[in-house]
Amino acid sequence: MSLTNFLAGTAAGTTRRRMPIAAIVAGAVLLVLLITALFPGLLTSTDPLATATSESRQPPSLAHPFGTDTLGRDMFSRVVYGARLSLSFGITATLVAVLAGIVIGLLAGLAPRWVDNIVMRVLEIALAFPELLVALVVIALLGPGTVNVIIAITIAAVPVYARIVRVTTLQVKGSSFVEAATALGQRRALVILRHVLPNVLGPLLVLATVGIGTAIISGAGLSFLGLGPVSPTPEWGLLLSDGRSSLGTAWWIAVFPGIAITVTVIATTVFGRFLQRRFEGRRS
Amino acid sequence: MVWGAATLSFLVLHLVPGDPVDIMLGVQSTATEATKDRMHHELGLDRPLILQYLDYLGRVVRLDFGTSYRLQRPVVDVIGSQLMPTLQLAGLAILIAVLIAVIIAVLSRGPLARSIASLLELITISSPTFWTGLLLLSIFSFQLHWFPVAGGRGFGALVLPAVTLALPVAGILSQVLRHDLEVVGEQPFVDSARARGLGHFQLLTRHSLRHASLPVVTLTAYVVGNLLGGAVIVEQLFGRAGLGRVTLEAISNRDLPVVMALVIFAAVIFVVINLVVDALTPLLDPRMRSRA
Amino acid sequence: MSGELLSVRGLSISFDGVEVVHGIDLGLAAGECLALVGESGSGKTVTSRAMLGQIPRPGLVSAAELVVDGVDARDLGERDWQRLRGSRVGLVSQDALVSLDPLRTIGREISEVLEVHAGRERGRLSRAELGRAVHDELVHVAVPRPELRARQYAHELSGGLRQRALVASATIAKPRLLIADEPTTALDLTVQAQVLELLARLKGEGTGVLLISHDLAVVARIADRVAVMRSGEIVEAGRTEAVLAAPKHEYTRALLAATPSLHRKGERLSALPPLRLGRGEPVDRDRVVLSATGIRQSFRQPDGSRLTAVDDVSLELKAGRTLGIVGESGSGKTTLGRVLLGLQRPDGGEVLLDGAPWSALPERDRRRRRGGIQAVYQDPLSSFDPRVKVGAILREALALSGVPGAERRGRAVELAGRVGLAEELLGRSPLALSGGQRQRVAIARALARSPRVLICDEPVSALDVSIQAQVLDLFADVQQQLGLAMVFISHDLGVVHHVSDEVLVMKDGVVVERGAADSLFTAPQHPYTQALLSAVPTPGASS
Repeated sequence: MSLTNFLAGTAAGTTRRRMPIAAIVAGAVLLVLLITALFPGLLTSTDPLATATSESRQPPSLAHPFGTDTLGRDMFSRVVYGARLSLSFGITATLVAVLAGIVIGLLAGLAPRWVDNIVMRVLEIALAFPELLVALVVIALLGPGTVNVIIAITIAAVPVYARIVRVTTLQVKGSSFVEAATALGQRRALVILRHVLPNVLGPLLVLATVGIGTAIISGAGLSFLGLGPVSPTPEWGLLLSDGRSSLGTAWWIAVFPGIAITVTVIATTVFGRFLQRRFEGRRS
Repeated sequence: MVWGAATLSFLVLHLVPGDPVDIMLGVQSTATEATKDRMHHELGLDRPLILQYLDYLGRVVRLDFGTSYRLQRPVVDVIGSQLMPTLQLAGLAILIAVLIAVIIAVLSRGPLARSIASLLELITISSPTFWTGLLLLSIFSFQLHWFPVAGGRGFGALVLPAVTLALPVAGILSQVLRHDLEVVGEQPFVDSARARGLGHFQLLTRHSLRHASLPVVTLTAYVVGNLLGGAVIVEQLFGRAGLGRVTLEAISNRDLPVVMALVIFAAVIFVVINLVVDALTPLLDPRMRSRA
Repeated sequence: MSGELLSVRGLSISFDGVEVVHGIDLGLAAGECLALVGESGSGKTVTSRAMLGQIPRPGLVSAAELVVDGVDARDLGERDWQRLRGSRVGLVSQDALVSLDPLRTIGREISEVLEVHAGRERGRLSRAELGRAVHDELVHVAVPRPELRARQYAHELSGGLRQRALVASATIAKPRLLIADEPTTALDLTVQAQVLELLARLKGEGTGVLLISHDLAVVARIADRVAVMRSGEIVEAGRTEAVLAAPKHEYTRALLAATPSLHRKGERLSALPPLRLGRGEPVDRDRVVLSATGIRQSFRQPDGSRLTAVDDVSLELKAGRTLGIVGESGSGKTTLGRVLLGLQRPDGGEVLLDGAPWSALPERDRRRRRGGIQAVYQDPLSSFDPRVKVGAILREALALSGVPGAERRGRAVELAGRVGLAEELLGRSPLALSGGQRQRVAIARALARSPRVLICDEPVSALDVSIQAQVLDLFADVQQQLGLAMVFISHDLGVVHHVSDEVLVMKDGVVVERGAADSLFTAPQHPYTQALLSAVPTPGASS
């Protein structure tokens, strides 16, 4: 055992508890975003779809905190309303993917060898491809559209969760703790089942938190490419694509939606890391 | 694995509800029944599934991916002609990413530097490429006029897209590298090395970097995947020709032969990369070499 | 204390305001060996690192005097320390497998210190000169075929060769002071002896050796003087023979008393009173409770070849008696234990529990009888569910024995009391318990099933000596009063000698000798047993 390890061990009992400021801020941001998505009316009273050609391409001002776009629509309210679609991409896709991942992973881990082999092969192939590409292929088959984007992102996200559930199941299956339980006289399958889920919930939660961020980016990316919701529905990726043509003259049309996405993803990532540290601390 | 990918795409194509021809024609098509029947026959879709599958495999092996529906050119042609620009882009992006990652990892000594590095990594990983690209365009092209706005000619046009593509990858590489360097730093042999009088920089170059690069190498497949996916967006954003554009158009136009060919192509790339990584690992890590 | 190589007075080391080491005085002269002895947490390792200036960042070192090989080291900067390290002071750590960079050849690891100091003082050395220096040092530490070994990696060498190569990497620059930090832990006994002999030889050549160890027996072998540390302070110091023969401090006395190799079976090792577990069941000492005939077990290796772990082993265990199985790593003793427990089906041979088939049964049937044979492992923590509290662990085991729900709580408290665990510990998670307490929980869990046979696989190897003593006493009490038969597997000869009635010596899957514990250990017949015994360091025997 190296000296640093040893010292880390002795000092552990005396470290002061540091307030996880970053995590608290991130949590607050996420909360605000959630509220924005559910009750956009709280933040803005302007209609995101209302056009006003006379006010087209106004820079940010008191009346329009984020400026207006080419059709005179208030960017602030568009970003606020866009949160609803973008966040629902992330959350729905992740939830469904996690559930599917649990089922598939458990199946692979507990089932006889040959079933596991097949599942593992499919997972490997799916994991080899970046999520965006998988989502693109699904869109190719199903066609563009909001619902299809959600399906596509979900399918793309499943393999990651399935993999970790499978790995944890196999780990628990072969652990000395399960062996000791067997020696004690307990039924193997029951022990494994009872102990996989609590053990896997932690890592899953961490992955899912970060996964929401990834799903949002994927969803926004697909929208940006024009494969998702259609204008004038506000969605962050779509807004970015709208703003592209006015980059030289009206930079605010593209920049604010982009900031929204980045901030959201940073918040989910930071929160996810915080969760990870909490969980790692709890295990031995 | 390539076989698996090919089979998977074949299965998916044929198991998806709906007639492939209908898919290709799109919802608003006004083609007559006769035309559709003809297409069915041309694509061999009216034959038993097993025969179609075998025929498909046979054609794949011969690199005959059929004809692009939209462009009426052999798919192989379509992909081949667009390969080079994308390779250039990806290649430069990898170089930039690795360079940035190593520099950050080596320089971040001390709590302040490490916090800054952490923050930079977080931002680069969380920012979608289409946004950073727009930002870079906005600043460097529109405001400062250093680089051209769009187009694929010349090295100048390569820089911004490559940097955009490289940023998230650099973030991940840097994160992994820094973490591994820390883990390595706690190993007993580092203690021994310090006891021989090695300084910080010597430790890094003689011991730590080599250890830390092992897990990074296994990340290569993931990194390349990331690059390929990102290329689709970046090429669209910067108006560059390349495989990304081809992919996007094929998907928007439901040009299935091209899509399937791209999937197989991607699979081949991953297989090759995994082979290379497998071959490289024993070279880097003597513990992985089998006893002679 | 002072000496020409090392002179330390009033050394204190603190981290974040917490003092871990206080008021240390040490002295070492050339050709001398000073041992720092203590259990984990005593501060001996940290103290040794202060001689190298290798205390990590939050640590603060202060001393009235700290002279290392003539250099006043109290205020040295990092650069100055780097000049000292390797060339004036060398470090040999434990376990060469991880103390040498696994990605570099032995030769490069050994020559590194020369390369590093070359630029500074000795002038650049050419490839050939470095090669020669490495060769010569490998010869010096008695590594055969040095040209071949220098090109190999740490994992390709056997444990003994590795450790000697590690020593070479520290001595090649001819430092006058050598710090050996637990250099023999994790080594097989025969290899341990070789390494100690090497250190003794270096001492004879004039090097001063600062030996850090938790093992009094090892210390007795080569140390001239010893300093016993506890909780960051030196409680006793003096010439080795004097301290070991007539210890003045109670802690030293407890350490000595706790060394199992000095005590025969039946003598108590710790100061704790024996536990009252019950009336002491009369036991039919001739009844065979566990028997194994012709056990064979082999495994397929990653490279395709088959490794025979256990080769035609037979044994018989009678009620109320302890069978010790001793062997070095790779002897097959652990695999044998698993076969006896029914966790592994042997390729050949049969195990009978209480005269009825055991190994041949399908798991379904075996499960019902599992209560009769239970196990205690080396690492109790990995055999517990990390999220379950101690009380629940015991109640779970009781439930398996058919104890009705209402009674379980009471029985769990009773069980805990039997193994010397306070009732309030039942509400804690095993993570919050000490190593000794965890092992008691493991024993309690095993006892909850009221077994007739207990298989123990290295149950005390991970414990400090004083805790080990208490747990061994507990095993003795449990056996005596419950009439348990035990199979005790360990690599530690002293422990096995102390607990066993009969002993099996295993090597490479085969039983090379068996017999009554006392006669086997005093008059071994087989050459391997003799080699093992001669390698056991015992306090009271000096080199």
